[in-house]
Amino acid sequence: MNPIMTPKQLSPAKVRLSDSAVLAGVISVTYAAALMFLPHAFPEVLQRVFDRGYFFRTIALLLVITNEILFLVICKRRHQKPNLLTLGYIAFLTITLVFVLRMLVMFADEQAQISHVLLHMSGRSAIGSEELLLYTYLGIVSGIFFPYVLVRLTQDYVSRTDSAEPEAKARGGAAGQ
Amino acid sequence: MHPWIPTEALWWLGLYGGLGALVPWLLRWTQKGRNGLDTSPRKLFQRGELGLFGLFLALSAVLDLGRSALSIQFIVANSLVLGVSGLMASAAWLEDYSRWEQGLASQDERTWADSRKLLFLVFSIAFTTEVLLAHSAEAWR
Repeated sequence: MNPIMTPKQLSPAKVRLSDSAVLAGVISVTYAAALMFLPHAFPEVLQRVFDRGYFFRTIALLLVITNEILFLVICKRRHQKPNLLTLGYIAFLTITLVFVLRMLVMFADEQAQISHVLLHMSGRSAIGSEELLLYTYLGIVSGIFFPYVLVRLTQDYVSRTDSAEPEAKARGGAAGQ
Repeated sequence: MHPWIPTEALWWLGLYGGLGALVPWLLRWTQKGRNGLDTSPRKLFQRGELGLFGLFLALSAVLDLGRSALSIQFIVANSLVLGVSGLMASAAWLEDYSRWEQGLASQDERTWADSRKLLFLVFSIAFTTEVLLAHSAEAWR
């Protein structure tokens, strides 16, 4: 921290679009590398976690922890003050995205079950490890990148509204005179 | 442990990386002796051109995804992720261009950092998407 700067002088945290891009990119490349080096074991591990029933809870927990740590790192690097509201908002957005992922996986699972019954297909009657692999990737990358995009858009909207209010008041006052 | 090498995805990565970043840099580098130009990538892509390349890269991956036999909900969701990240990458170039158009001072350092990071994101998502496509094609064969 800058020695001149005291904790009281810290400005409120402002997120930039590229903040989460590097982490999401690194995780994305790691995911591809895991698939290349463990082409059979990696999908099987995901399938096992899914079958045991704690797949979404694990993903949600990991993503929330990652996003909160990333936010604190960004604040520390830029000498900004992390506020609880933004931390809570990031957690809320991450959990919402995991919920959307859950809906997508459940929909794919039901589709697989219906086609199993209607078309008398052999093999698994539920979502397969290959499909799970696709949706997990989607959930992880969007779970890191999208909360920050939404936080940035919200911050832009709030700062625009804040700066528009005094202008509108000044204009109203001038019109009254 | 037998690693699986998705040759198509690696070829795709090399082709786009080469055409989008390496060829422009090499062209600039060949002119170094004649014009005494600064050939560093930072100087070459300082106005956020990498972000614009990111948008084209995202679009090409979306087109590739659309041709695959994967479920429609996955294609739509992944296209959305690629599209948004591509748009965010191009926003770095657009912001700098708008500043230049209005005669405002350019923020080269910030534009370069943003476009570079967002291109990395688009590139990694597009590459992993190609790896997943190749893996699915092989698994369902």
